[in-house]
Amino acid sequence: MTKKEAKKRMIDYLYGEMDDQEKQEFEQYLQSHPELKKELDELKDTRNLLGSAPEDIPEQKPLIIPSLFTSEESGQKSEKRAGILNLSSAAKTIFAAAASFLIILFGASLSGLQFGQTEHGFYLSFGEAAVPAGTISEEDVVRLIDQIREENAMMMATMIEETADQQNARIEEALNLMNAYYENRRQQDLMLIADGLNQLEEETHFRFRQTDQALGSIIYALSNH
Amino acid sequence: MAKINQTIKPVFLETTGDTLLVKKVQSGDAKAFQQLVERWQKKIHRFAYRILQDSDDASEITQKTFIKVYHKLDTLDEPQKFPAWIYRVANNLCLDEMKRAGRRKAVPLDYQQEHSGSNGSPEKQLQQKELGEVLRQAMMMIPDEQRTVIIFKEYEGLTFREIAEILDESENTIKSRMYYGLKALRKVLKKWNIQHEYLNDD
Repeated sequence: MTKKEAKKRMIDYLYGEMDDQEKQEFEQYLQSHPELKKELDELKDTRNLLGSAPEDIPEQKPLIIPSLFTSEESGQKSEKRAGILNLSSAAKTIFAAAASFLIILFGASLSGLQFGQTEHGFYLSFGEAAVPAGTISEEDVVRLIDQIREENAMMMATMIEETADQQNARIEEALNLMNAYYENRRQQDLMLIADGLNQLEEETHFRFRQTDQALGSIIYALSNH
Repeated sequence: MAKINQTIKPVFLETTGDTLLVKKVQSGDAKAFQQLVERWQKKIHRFAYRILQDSDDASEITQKTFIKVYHKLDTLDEPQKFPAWIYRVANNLCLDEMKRAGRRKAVPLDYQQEHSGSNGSPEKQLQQKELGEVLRQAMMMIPDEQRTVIIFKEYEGLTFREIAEILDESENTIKSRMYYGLKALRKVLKKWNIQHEYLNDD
């Protein structure tokens, strides 16, 4: 028996899909193949385990399908009933609309239909027109809007003030920095100028002395003559 | 082969109730469809739940299955094959769902530790409940096509021939999947140290 066949036989055996003769033959075969017997036992164990544990199957949500059919069904029924009047569907619609309009008119004539406009808008009512109670009056709305506006303005003002402060601080800082920088530059420049002057003075002094010496030697030479 | 087909008569193909109902629906009987739904919705929901292990998904699949059945029942030429047909519809929808979600619901990582160290024997009831949960998780670990066969065979109680028809495969292929499925399941359970603990009690 090939391995593939053995596998198939094991499953057949395990699930009772063998006739008596096949079963007998396979059992005999198993006796001479202990490793196959062991494998079969393992499969059996696993199978038993599957059957031994309870299963929790949650409740199913109700299906919507039945209505799919019943709606069609009731549609058919009403069509049959309408057959008494023998009307087409368009005529039926018009008839229905006309009928409901008549009913409304009739009801209106009994209860006194009212239609008009208030400061809140249009109204259509049977009997007394009910003025909506507990609603906000125009004055309240205006006051509310004013309040909101005021709050907004205050908020904006504070915001602008804060921003201006911040900007001022920043500008001041920048100015201070510039100031320090220029002061520094000026000092350096002054020192450079002072240096330059000193050098010039020294040079002038040196020239004087040279001139003196030259004059001295000229005078000396002249007096020797 | 033809002879075998005749001798092994699948159980569910003989459910004349369904066949009759399908014929009635096909000839326009709305009530018959309702009856068909009542007869099958629990089965389909249970099946979908076993495959997907999610209550909401299972309800959705059930819903979709019956919508499809409603629209496609006219195309079913052999009304006596309705059970295989409806299972196939449900199974295909489940496959789509699994593909769409790209999922295999993850088994918590601490499972192994939790179970490998437990030597004590708690109350039987708790044990049974826990076993059910462990099995549920283990089933999710084996390949989908093997799991489907196990579910059809062990829980829905179909014959291999019926399963073969539903999945459009040969009977031998189905048996092979059953074999490997059981093997894989055993391997998972063994890894979790489950098998011995429970089987030695029996």
